[in-house]
Amino acid sequence: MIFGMWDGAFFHIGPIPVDHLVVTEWVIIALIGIIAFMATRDMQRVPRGLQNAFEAIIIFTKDFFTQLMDEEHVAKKWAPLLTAFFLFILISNYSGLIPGAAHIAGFQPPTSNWNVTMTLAIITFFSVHVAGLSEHGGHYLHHFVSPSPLMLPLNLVEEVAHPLSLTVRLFGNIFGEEMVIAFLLFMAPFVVPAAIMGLSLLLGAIQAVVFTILSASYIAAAAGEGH
Amino acid sequence: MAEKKKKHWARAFSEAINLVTTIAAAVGFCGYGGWWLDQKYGTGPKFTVIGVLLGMATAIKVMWDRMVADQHKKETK
Repeated sequence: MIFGMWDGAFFHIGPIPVDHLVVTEWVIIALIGIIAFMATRDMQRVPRGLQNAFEAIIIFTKDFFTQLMDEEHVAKKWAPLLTAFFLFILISNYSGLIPGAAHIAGFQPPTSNWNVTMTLAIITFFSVHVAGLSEHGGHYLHHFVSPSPLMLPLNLVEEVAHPLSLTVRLFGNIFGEEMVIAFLLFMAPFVVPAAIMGLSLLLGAIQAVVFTILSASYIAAAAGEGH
Repeated sequence: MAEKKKKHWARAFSEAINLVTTIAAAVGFCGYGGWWLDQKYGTGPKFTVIGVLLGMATAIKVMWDRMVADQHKKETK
């Protein structure tokens, strides 16, 4: 246990240990799923309530990603994944702000563990290449040896650097923030951590936006005219 | 009067962050890879130096690509 952060299996399903972070992820996914189900279970031609709010969010994200990615059909195809990234990361980051979260097993933000952030970055990595291959076919692979075959090592390093930078930035920010809050809770409970937690609301949202925007820009670059 | 298309704030933001973090990750990844190889084979600083140079070359390439892409966009406007 480091600064109150719990580590280890939460329970076992047969021989398989289930980490508390996995349980937190399940809760977050279930939360998003339940809200989405409630918004879409009785859809009306003239939307009201939760359906109305969800339609506004969908229209906003579609317009946002269309402007960001230039190509409307690419944005339409990838907006669901990118929006899911944003919601999952945002709620994960905020899950650490539940009072006493750092001391309770199961309430540590999943994004403060690099296995989770790396998994999200690996999904982005594969999405980028799927987007490139689906838009340009086999010709997409040509960019690995462009402008010359001698550039292959540099292009490969660049491809690895993208998910690595996504992983380290999100993990580093959220883990560091959790450490600071846990340390301050230990040293000076209530008042001082409250200010940092207020700042965490902003930082959590910024990190979710940055991850989503960067993923969108990588996908747009692979699917764009440059290849 | 032709309306000049303003770059979307999110695009400008993502390009800036992308450039900085990709450069840092490339140098860090290659440098660490080189250091790991040096530890494994006891080759002194050889692989670390090669790794850092490879990372720096990638960083320069990433910046060069960004500049060429921006120049191309300006010319096609």
